[in-house]
Amino acid sequence: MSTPDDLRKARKGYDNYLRYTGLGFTMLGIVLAFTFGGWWLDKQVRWPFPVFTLVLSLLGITGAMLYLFKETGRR
Amino acid sequence: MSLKALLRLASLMTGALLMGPVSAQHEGHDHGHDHAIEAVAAAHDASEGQHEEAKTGFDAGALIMGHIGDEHGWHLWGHTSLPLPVILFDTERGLQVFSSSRFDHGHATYEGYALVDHRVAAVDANGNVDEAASANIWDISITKNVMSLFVSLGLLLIIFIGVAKAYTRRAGQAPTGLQNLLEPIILFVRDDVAKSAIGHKYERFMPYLLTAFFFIFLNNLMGLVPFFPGGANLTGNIAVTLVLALLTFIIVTVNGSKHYWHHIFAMPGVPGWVLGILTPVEILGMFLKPFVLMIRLFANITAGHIIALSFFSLIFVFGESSAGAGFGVAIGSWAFTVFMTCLELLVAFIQAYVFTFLSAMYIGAAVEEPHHH
Repeated sequence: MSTPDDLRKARKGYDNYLRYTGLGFTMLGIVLAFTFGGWWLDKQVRWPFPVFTLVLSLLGITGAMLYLFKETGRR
Repeated sequence: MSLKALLRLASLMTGALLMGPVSAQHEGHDHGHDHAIEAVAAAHDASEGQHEEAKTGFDAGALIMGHIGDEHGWHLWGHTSLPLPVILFDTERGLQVFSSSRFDHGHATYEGYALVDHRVAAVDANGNVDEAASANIWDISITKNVMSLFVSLGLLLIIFIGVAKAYTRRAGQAPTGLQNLLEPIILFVRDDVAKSAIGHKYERFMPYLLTAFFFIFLNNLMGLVPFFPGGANLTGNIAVTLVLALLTFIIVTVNGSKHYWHHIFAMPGVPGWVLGILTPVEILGMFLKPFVLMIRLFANITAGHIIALSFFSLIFVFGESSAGAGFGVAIGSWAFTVFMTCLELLVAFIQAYVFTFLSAMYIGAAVEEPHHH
């Protein structure tokens, strides 16, 4: 038998799950935005080596990881 | 949710894989040309949207895209369409208002305007598209989606004004009828969405959350009704989901507390060099969250429509090669469509719930007061 309390608990688990849907897309968006920013900067400065694309894409990945830690570690 | 999305993608890809080779092979057979060239040419034609004169066979892609997109006039059955008003604001010629039946389903030109790929374009006397003049057109027509929006708004008003009246008339008594049906859903949005995600400040945001929930839910359901006045892909229209997500974004931004902005621009307890990365990331996140809301609703509802239409299309794709194959596939298609439509009923509710819940969560994060640790 499932009591209303059980149902509420189950739903809380589902809510927690919902909290993190979209986290992946947000992380992807962060990496893409940083990489695009680097690509754009490289196009502006016209150096022979795409240094901004490389540095900013790595920063984007770092940022996405930080974001992940921050979002999941809050509660 | 992610498992479901995966399943969706898999079935979509299966559909595409099944349909692609079959139609390409069919064309190659008919014309006796090189298969690959024919297929590439067909794909190229389809991508340019100028396949009317070249192809006579069944075009599943055009059918599906036509159904999930918007149109001038509302197709009812066979060759019968409900004409809708075309309203154009031409920066050179001023306001132009006429019926979409003047276009005769894209076959006719009216007053220098014609339908090209379901869009209004300016044409010259010979029927050639005038790109420069077309750029002057602002199309604010009552299209199928707009009409569908009006219908569902009317329905929402009738339902909720009736329910509201029932509450004032029968104050303190047990709910009846429609009121009885909707009360648990309204309470669900209040208790399990607003209260659990926002906390004690939930009351101020109830009008928006309830409106968003019932607007999305009703339009999702209307999209599942295969005949007039349903069947429009309103919540699967990215412009509609953009406006919904924009509303959430504005509400979150306007109601952001000091605490919220402090966490975005200078997360407390984080060393300075990390802030250099985290602050841009947080600012990006501010925009990405509503962006993902927009994409999620759009993709889920559009995918549902595409799946149903793909199963229908399979019947005709196979029916073209032989009637027997068409009948055989029809049985499987029918069963899968019934199954998917049942799933879509669930999705209609879940997506309305997810949008409202996540909106409430973002609002909750914005109005949150600092915790006393």
